[in-house]
Amino acid sequence: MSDLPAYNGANGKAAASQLRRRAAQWTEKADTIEAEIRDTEEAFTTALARQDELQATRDRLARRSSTATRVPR
Amino acid sequence: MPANDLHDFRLEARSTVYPNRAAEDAAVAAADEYSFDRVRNFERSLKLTAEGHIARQEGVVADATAVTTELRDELCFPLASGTLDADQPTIERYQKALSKATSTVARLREAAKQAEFHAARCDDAYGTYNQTLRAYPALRNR
Repeated sequence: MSDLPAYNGANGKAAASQLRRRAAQWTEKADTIEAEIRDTEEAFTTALARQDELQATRDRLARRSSTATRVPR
Repeated sequence: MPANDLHDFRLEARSTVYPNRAAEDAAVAAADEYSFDRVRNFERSLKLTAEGHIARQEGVVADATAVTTELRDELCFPLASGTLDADQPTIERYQKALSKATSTVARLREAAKQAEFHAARCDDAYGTYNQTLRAYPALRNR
């Protein structure tokens, strides 16, 4: 098609580059959300581990305290 | 337009035998002008489609911002800093946010894919229009 004078498609090219800019922005937003999902899941794991640790400490303290208050016969 | 597409039509105008150079120049110029006018109209409709596609994504872009903020500021940071417990209500809230986030990601990726498709068409309005004419011969005489 190069042997004929070319059509000047400047408007179409401008629209194409606007679409590509938006596509890049939308992809970036999707990547950001996926990263937030991963971070939130990690935060959940950390929070659950912390809660488990806290509960284990409470249980230990409760056991110790019940042993300490036991009156020997 | 008897040709298969505008490109063939322009080639035919150039390969026809004319009585003189002036007649040939006038016929070739007229074929180009006619072709470019049709492509220009088509390009205008491609541009409108592109703008429509961008405008239709406003909702998903707003959802993306909202769900990112919800995950980051209302779940991730408070959970990581210990100001929010990973209890049942938080888990249920996260599951709702996760479902919204997952569907928003899918909508964003689909929007981007569609944008790339429209961009390729806009990039080469002349080629796209010729392809359309070959695919839909009924359009040739419009």
